[in-house]
Amino acid sequence: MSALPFTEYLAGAYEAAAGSLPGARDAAVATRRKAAIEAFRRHGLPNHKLESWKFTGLNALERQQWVLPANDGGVDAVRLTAATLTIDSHRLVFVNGRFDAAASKIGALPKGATLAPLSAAGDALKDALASAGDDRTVSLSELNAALASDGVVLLLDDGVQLDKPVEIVSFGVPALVNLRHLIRLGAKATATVLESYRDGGSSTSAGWTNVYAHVAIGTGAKLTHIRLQAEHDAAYHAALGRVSIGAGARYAHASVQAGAALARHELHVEFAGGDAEVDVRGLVLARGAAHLDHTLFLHHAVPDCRSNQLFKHVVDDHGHAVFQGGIRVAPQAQKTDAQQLSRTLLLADRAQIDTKPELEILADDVKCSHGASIGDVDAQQMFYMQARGIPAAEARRLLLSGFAYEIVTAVPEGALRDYVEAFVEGWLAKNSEKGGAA
Amino acid sequence: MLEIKNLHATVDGKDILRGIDLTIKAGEIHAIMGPNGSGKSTLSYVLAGRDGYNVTQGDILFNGQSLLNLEPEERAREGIFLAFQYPVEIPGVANATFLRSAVNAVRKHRGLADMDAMTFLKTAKAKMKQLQMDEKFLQRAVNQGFSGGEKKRNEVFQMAMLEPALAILDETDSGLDIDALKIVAEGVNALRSPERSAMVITHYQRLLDYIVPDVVHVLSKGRIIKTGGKELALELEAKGYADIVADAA
Amino acid sequence: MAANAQTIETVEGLAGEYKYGFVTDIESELLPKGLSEDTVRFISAKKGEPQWMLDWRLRAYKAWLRMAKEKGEPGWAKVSYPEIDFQDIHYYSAPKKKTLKSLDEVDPELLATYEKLGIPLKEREILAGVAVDAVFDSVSVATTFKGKLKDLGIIFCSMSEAVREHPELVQKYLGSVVPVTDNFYATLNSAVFSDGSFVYVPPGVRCPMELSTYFRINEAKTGQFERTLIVVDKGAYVSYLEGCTAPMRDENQLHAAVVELVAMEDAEIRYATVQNWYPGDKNGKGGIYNFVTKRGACRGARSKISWTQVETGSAITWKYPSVILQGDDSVGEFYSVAVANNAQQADTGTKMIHMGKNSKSTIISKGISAGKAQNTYRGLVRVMPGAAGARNYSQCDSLLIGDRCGGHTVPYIEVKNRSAKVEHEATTSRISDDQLFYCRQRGLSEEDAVSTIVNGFCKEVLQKLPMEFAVEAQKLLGVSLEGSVG
Repeated sequence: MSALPFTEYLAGAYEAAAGSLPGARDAAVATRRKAAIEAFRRHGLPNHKLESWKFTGLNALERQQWVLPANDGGVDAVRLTAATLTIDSHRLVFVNGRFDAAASKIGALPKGATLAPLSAAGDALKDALASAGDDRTVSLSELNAALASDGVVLLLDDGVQLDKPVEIVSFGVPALVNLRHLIRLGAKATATVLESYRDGGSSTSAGWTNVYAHVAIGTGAKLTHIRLQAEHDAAYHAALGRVSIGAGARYAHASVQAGAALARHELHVEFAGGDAEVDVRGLVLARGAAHLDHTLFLHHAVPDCRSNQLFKHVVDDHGHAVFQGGIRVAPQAQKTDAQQLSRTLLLADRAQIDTKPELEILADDVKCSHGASIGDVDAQQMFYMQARGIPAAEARRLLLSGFAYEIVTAVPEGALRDYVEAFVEGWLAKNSEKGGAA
Repeated sequence: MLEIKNLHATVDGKDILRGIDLTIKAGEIHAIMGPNGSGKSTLSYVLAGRDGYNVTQGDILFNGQSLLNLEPEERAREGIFLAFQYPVEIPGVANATFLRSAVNAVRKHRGLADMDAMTFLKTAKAKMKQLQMDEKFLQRAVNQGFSGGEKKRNEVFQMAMLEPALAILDETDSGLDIDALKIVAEGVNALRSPERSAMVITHYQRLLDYIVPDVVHVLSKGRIIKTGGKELALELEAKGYADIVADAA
Repeated sequence: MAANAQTIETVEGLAGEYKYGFVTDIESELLPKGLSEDTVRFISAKKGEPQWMLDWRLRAYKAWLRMAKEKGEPGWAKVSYPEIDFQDIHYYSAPKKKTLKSLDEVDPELLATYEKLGIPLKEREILAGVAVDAVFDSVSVATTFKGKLKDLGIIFCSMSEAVREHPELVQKYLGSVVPVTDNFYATLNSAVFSDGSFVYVPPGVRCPMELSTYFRINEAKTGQFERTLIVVDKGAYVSYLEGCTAPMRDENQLHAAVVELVAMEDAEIRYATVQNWYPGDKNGKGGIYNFVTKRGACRGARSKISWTQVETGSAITWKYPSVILQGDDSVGEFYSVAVANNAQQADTGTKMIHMGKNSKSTIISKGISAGKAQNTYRGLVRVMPGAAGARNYSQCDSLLIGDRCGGHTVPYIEVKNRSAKVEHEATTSRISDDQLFYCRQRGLSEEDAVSTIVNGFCKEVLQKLPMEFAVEAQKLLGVSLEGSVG
């Protein structure tokens, strides 16, 4: 245990590392980073007393002396292959929180497209470091701004279509890794992004990956954004995404959370123009002592937009899933259609879920609803399958697979869906083998 | 009974009715036919006094009195009944409760005492039997979960209970099979009397085989372009609207 | 076309005058404003309380002081109001004539007040068969039907009387469901509670009549701190009705009541409330602050507690009638209609804490917002690890009338048992132009149309009320949304 308070300890780590962080020689960047670490020092970590952190505590983080990752190492080929797409993509691999050029390959880009690691993004670095808010609830994103060692910058000019998916793969290491992404799509641009956080396999001790992503989707643009978080079972993962959606734009997001001691994916989505559509789906696969948290704030700030949220949780052992889904419909946001559904299967006696769907409706001509259901695998369905001769473990695996299906199928067909499906099926098969979920 | 004089009306600033003249005498049934978008439903809403349907010129006299300054409920109490093309669902409100409130609102207006629960129930059940409706409909929420045909039948049932002086049936035949159509028509015919009139709005001639009109009007682009006897409906059926509209133009 | 502009106008135009806005002129015995240890001692002495009761109050007072210093009033609810000056409140007032032997001795002016409120005691006594424990300000002045209840062994009396006459019961159960330090307002109540009702139903007895209390806040600047305790023993049953109206006031009046229910094995308690205290004027001036703690404990196996509430009044409502389902196979229910019009703010809901095996709970909440009101459902369903087979079904519907109000839903669901089954649904809707026009075309006035649609929306809850209350509640919904037209 550090003698220094946690914030001071990290501030010290910042001082030590500041000179070697990307943009260190740029005065504006240095000033921003300094301001960010000060903001973090002022606020400290979010805690239970904050409504949006009611169910997820970060005390465990404070019990460790975090080091920033060393600037070395790589990833072995087998691990890399297993964690990446089988098709041609623009692949950016991060090991130790730094861009691994050897493992990466950025293909030819259309005119008007910028895709680069943050560490080599030039002026875009300043934009990427912009604050997500001077507030304790998002203080981790300020810590991230101070310490961000790398990330991805994807900028598409108006009308640019990126055909190949952008694949961001980060391998966790037993250190505090800060990645920061900036994704900006101009009007009518389209892109598909896969963010994948995987176990680096270099150690059994815990790492902490702290991610911030700023996503701006222009008028009529379309972004498909898949996220897979499957690090070491002892890892910590905290991510905050800020997404703004232009008029007539589409944002399809699917988030799979699987491996971590504690993971939180917080997503703030704001509609900035009418006739836009958001589809957010989440799949949580929790076993062991995993504490997996999805927190969403969906702000219908303008009229005529549609949003759909579907979250599924499979919780085994003494896993703990958290789902907070806030929908706010502003007074002027008439004709909003906002739907939300959260479903949970608790597979073990000590498994638990905390869910808080929240509707704040200030306009009257709206269609808003939310639903939540929690229970075990349906006994009748089990019996029906067993009566057809399917062994119990197999029946259960099939039912779970069916449960996850609605999330998996939100991923575009082809290599991307195969990738997500393979992971989910792998997880379920392993769970079935270990005899959990009995 | 009903005198429509040079009626012009707009909806959302668009001219829909462009000078309608029409007189329905007591005891008469008039059919209004016309292609889609000719202003048939607008005419029914204007007569019933729906907000947003603005009369810009002309007048509507009902028993000599102008309706224009009357609220929808006042027109209803005067005896104007609109059978909706799309009857509205009101969750949680039992059909019986709803209808009894309506019956008593109309009775109060006519200086009659409230209909007591027993009499109401007896009358309602008798009318339902005529319309071959299950009595269970009385306890179900207004139109909620009703099939299209059930909704239309419920409209005619309400009409039978309210005994209006002027019934306006807005495409009451749409969505009905032939058996249901006959039953609905019988319900309307049962109300026929020298004191009552009806305006039957329909797209098809079929309904008029069962509710035989005294006069048929063809509406097009917000004007009545042709008026005739019941044979006009047959002519329309045979030739289609296009010819008649072209002839009139 | 503006979204149901007509509806908005109707509701606004008809918000009208508060029907029960009058002040009864009765000479009151008023303790000077302010709260101190002396206030607590004065109240206790005035009531001739034993030492244990005074000690209990003082413990609460000290705890409250600590809370006030450390955290102040709770700030998590979606309501806003100026900070309350707890030294600017009278903590005790009583009509002067006391120890009445019969209704004839009751101040005629007071009886006339009840008359105006539509609660003619005598009539009720004869016609409705309802025993009324009428609380006027802080002291019970009339209790009827005592004899009949006494024969069955049922105790139904004022809390003051219970403290004197049944100390063993009060000592055993008071604060056992809502602990002294439960929350800021409950703790304040524990220190200064003035009076309230006490009910005990002995084993196996089915209370043959609805027990009811009419509350009324009257004295200017008088906080009301009612304390109700209902204990229903094994296999017994009681249905309790609570209803309130309050006179018009410009200054805000604080009401911080505590209601505790205890249901033993196989016991059943039904508790119904119709609340229509003064909501303040159209701009939010005046009105009652209703900060209430209501909680029931299903102590025994197969016990059942059912809360039904129709909340139409108060400037601010902060109220979460809850059930702790301790017994196996116990049942908790919450049926609620909350109306917020004009500048009213309502933050209400329930907590269902499942501890017993196969415990079941049902939550049906209907929130109606109009004017510029804010209406929040806030609820918690918690299934503890031991509550195998627990079941919950929740349905929260919001109805919005007009485009300047807000309807919010904040359900917390925490499940720690795999065999539990929890389902939650929430919807938001409005009164459509189509619905209004349809009703009006059938001859209903606009205000009747609104009332009809709203009553339909609330049907599932209204039908849970005892008959005589249901009628009153339907009228209330009309009054609070349409004014007193017609």
